[in-house]
Amino acid sequence: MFCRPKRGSATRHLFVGNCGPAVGLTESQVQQYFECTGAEGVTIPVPAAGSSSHVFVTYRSIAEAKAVLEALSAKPPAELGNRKLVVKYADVKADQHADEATTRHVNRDAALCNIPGLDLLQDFVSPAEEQDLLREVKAGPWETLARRRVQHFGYKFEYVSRNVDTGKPIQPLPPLAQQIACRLEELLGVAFDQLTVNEYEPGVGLSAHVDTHSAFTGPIVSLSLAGPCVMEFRRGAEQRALFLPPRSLLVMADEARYAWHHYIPHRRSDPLDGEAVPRAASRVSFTFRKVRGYPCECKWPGSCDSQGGGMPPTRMALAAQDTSPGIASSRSGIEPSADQTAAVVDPPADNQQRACSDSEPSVSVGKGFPQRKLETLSLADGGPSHEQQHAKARSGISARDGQSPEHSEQSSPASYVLSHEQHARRSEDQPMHGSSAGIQHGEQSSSAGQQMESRYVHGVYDIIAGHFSATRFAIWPKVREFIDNLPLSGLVADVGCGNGKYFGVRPDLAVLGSDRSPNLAETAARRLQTSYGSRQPLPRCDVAVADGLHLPYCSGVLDGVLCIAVLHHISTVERRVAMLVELARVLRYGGRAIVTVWASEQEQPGKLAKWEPIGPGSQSGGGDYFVPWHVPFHRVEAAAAAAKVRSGEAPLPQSSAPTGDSDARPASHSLPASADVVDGKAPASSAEAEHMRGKENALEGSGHKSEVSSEAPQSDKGSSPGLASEVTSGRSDVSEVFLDGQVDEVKRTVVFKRYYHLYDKGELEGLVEQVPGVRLVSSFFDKSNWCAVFEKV
Amino acid sequence: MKLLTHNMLSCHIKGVKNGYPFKIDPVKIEEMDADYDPDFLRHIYPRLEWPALREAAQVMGEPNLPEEVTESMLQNDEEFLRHFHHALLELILEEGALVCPETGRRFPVHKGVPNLLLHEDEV
Repeated sequence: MFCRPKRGSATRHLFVGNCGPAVGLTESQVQQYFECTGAEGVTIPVPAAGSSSHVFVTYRSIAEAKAVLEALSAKPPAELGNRKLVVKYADVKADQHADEATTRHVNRDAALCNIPGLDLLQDFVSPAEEQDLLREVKAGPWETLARRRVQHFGYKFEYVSRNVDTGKPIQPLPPLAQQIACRLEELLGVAFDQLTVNEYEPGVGLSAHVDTHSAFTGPIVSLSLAGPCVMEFRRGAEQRALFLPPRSLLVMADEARYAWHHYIPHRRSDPLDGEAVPRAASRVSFTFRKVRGYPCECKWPGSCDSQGGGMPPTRMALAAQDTSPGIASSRSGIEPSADQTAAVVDPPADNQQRACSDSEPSVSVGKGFPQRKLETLSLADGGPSHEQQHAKARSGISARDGQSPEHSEQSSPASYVLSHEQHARRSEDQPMHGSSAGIQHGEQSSSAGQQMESRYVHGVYDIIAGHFSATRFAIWPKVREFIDNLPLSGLVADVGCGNGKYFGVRPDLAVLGSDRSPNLAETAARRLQTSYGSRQPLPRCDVAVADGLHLPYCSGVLDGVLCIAVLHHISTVERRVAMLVELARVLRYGGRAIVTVWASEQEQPGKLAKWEPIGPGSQSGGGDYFVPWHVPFHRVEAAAAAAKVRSGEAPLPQSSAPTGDSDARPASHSLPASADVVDGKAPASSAEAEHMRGKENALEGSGHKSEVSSEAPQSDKGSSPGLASEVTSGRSDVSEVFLDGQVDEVKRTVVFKRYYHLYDKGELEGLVEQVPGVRLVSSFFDKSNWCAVFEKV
Repeated sequence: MKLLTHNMLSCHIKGVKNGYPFKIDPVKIEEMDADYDPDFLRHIYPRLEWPALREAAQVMGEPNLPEEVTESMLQNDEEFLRHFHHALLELILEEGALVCPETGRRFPVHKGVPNLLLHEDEV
């Protein structure tokens, strides 16, 4: 059996793709060709022999295999029809295990690993201390994970978010462990304040990871007790192994801590000096860390969550959001602030929608789209409508009109269909007919709306983009269902795509994502390029910065449009209709759009009361609200706000905020120098003012300077210019938005207000009715959202 | 930005008649491997403005797209399909600008993302 080799390693076996019976090459043809290249054997995979599009070829040596790989990659062989072959190394499964057990080199000395910052101190504790430490934690209470048991001290490590809540200290380190921590402080100059005790049974390991940068600062050290193990380190294609004997102390600092993945293979014995050393009945590790509570500014942004890199969401986090409605909906009742470090919730938009009721009367999105051929033929049958012809006549897109429409009358049926589509598309590069009245009117009255959105939607999302993106990954089932019904290899726009979480749902689709926030668009773009873990690169998706009211696409080209949790950020009726008209414009005939918005019928009781109403609203609670978004202090987005405040650049909050909000949350204070701007509700007394300053100092204290002092042995500072300054500079509207950023000391967050319009029953459908040329296919309420699917007719 | 996307974009500045296609002013072009899937190419072809793709591909360094595409080329011409695939999905405009053919307005492309926001006086 063949398999992929260890990353980057060359073998004497080659995988050759785009080659085999499935692509029209006969077995003997393939066999003969590779025998001529000196192959020892050619294997055509058995289960799919007749339909295989790849083969495996084995050579006598790695050098031979390498030579052939290079030759084939350079030039497709004429003997195989000049096909461009995909050639990679392969390995034999049995071989690989043998290799690993016997030949893989495991170092006993950390220096031989040649990883900057990695160290191993032998016999850091005595056998007596070892026994005492084990006894101290033996009774627990243990928290049971999937395969091992853990205990936390100082701060609880949340596995879902891979972070700690710095606002919530838990039980202190037990006495003996604290003594070790003191010893470590003398040695390393770091006051470790978080301890995780792990107990591993034989066969149990630790998955590869880099400890979350924003969660911990300085080195991370781990004391191995009771039994040994081999720890593996990986960075890109590089790999090292280090034997950790009992009572040794592993120190990971600098590059070793910030850039290298470390893991313990799940196996029962470890290879060492050519032999297999069985694991002990149990191995207990004491891992000491220092919590950070502010963004990381290391020089390894690729693995740094504070700088937009790092690991994708955990499976636990995905599972909690994706598959368990119970958890999801109970979560969704919590304000983002209350559940801050769990890196989840933007209340209803996503999570609340999860548990969708199958009994919903009008849930169905409808049948799949008509086959494209049928659809275009019917168009061809009837010929272009009057409006189309009219529109075509007006259409000034001469570059396109230059192509003769008669082109369609010649040649095969296929090209006949093609050109009719092109025809339809050309004919429409004009705003939708008939819609002008409302829109024109809107143009005049929408400037206030634009201001509201610019400040309380675009500006805010631009600032919180990184944090927002890190919490957005659940695929809502109703949207998935809509996407599943789109035609094969269809062309789809995702308007307001955020971090692009819907891009990969169907890899055959080409998705044109757009977002009004440049920073959010960038988070989506980054996703396109990285393949991390199970995430594949998405070669058919793209992102643009664009306004949903002025989409940059040609008319009539798209099979589908997603507009998920976007329309509720649009602040006037005219602009809402204008956006729907714009969505319809880019759809082809028969193309469908799905639009979802937050409902005034929030299923979580008391939720509306937590939001800040703007204006009178409707009887059922619909209308305009400010909804808070909390950014934890440890996020770089919060640091940007705090830095702005400290430097005094941010103007006063009261001067231009449209509504007073100081009574909304007693625990929060307006940002800048609000202590000095007395308005009865802001902190007025000098004591409170002092308190405010103290808080700002606290923020400052968590900044760069203290990192310097607490990371004496480190050298990773002074490296990056700091994302914070990057975020604040270069965007003219940022300082304005900081008016509305507030420090919430209790939750240790900076709070940003976002504008929302909550929709009453029927309101969304009413908007769709105002869009000419579309038919409402279905509309439904699902978990605190109103949703509509419409089709262009 | 891929040329597939470019093919779907047009300039929507108010009053612009000839907003298609954007001219590409490349500063940095990257290539990304994409899985070759001739079926996708056959599906997407009808949606494309071929002359616009061909012109853009030339600017981006893929000069091998033919002026005319026939049904049989789409079905069997492997070499053509490879070039088509490469032009459509594997050439990425990483830095540069999209230029409106009528007004000359430049829309910057940064880190692979075109910024197509319009100014207030353009809508």
